[in-house]
Amino acid sequence: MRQEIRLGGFGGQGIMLAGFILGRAAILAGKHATMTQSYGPEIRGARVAADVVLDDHPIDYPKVIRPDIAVMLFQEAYDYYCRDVARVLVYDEDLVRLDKKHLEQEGLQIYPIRAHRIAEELGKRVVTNIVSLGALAVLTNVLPVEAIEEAVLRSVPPKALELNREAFQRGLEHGRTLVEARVA
Amino acid sequence: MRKLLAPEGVDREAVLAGEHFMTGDDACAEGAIAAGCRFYAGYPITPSSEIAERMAKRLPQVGGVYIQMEDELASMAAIIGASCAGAKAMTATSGPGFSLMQENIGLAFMMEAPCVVVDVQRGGPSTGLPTLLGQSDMMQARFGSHGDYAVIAYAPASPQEMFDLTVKAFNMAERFRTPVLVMADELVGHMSERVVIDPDKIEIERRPRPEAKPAEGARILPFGANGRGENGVPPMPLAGEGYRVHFTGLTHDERGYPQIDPETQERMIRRKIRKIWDHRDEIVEYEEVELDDAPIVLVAYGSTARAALRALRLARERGLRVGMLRLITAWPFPGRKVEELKDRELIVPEVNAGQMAREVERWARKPVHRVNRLGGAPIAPEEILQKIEEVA
Repeated sequence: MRQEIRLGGFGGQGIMLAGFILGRAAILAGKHATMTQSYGPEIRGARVAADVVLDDHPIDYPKVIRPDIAVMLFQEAYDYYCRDVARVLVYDEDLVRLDKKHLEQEGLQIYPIRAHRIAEELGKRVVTNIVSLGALAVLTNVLPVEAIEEAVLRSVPPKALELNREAFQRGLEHGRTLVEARVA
Repeated sequence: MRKLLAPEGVDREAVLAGEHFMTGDDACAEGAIAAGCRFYAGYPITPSSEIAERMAKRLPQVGGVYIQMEDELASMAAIIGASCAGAKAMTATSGPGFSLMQENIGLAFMMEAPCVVVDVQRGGPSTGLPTLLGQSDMMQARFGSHGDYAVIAYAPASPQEMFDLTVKAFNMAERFRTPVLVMADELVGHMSERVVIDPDKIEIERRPRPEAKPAEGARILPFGANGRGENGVPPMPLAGEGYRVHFTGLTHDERGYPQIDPETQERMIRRKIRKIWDHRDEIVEYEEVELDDAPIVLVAYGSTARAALRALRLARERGLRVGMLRLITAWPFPGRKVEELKDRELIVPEVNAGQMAREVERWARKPVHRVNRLGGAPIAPEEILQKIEEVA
């Protein structure tokens, strides 16, 4: 089944890498994936979005039409790229304030995460993207956790391997806590 | 320097074998390396820059040479020079750079110098939309250089085809001693997708070479071939081997010496065109999707074919019998196939004001339905579906 994921943030936050990692994870899990990108003329500091489409079959149209899942880590990106989301909205509660429209949308699962804060605790803001992927893996079951982890480890520089492994683990734990809180 | 000469077969150490998740631009560069390209000269321009970037990194690893040139005129000239010295050579660019390369693309045709030019199309005219999609160089690909000539141009629709068709572009360039174009677009160039590279499935062709050794008095005719069949492609001596030959952009005789008269023009230019045209059945490629029962046919290419495929599926779900003819070679154009479809309703979606639609009309001998966008964003499947419903 076709699933569309949109990741939004600001340039320099590792959004493109996160999208690439999801696509790579899909390939490792034997699925099909496309990743496309949107950005303005500036790169760093401006809004960006990575669009990932997953399917069990070869993908026809490679762009996201209406995201099933959105992960938003920056207000401007949320405002611009996240007008319509179907199923799951994950957002960094320190960086994004949600629209009333989404809060009132029936059937939309909303998960506030603290990826930025956790990354700061790890001493490296650059791993915000990896923490988010860990949380996403637990919150959506979109791809096997092992495949995402493997894709993370294959996509980061060797000297940053341990840091990213830890960031991904912290993201997983964070996601589990959120799921438990929701069930409770 | 020896390694710059095109390897005989597949250089397994150089090929990035395996299953990858990679962009179309990266896949294009890997296709070039796999095909034996060992010389790249270019001037980076969005959205083709990633090809230059990857070639700059990869070529030194495989014994090749990357040169960043002062502009696109020089880039094109440099790859013609490298080709004449025996290297498989490539450049990549986008709209404005492609315009600047046109004169020397004609020179490569005239000198029968095999080479590959990749145009990752963006929105134009002029500097237009540097970071955004366009498909508006399709007619420039065919007619951009002055004078009469024939061209081979591929239109990849996925990163996998960016790899496969770049390999094929080199093979066709070598086989027919001619420049070959890869007419990609921003969406295909920048998107990442599964790319499988299997060295066992790569075929390598090399240009015909003279049989006689470059001894004193050896009579080599680098432009001597009669007009038909395999003989349309003359053997190519390499610069520095010792043959005494002459290469020029002026109209020349079989030896390569300028001969400025109407008879030579007629004989030589006709042969250069016919060596491609006479083999068009072997060159032309297209994909047929559910054509048999379809009264409505989409004719699409490049990334737009992906939107068309989705529109086709959505239409079929609604009970509309729609098929697709996907152009893999834009030039030579699959005219005979379009002729076969002339009784169907034809819809041509493309990210330009209607370029290949004109060629479809020429072969179908009737007006076609157009879905156009002038660039900046892909055509959405819904827009094509809407046209299908209008026509049905």
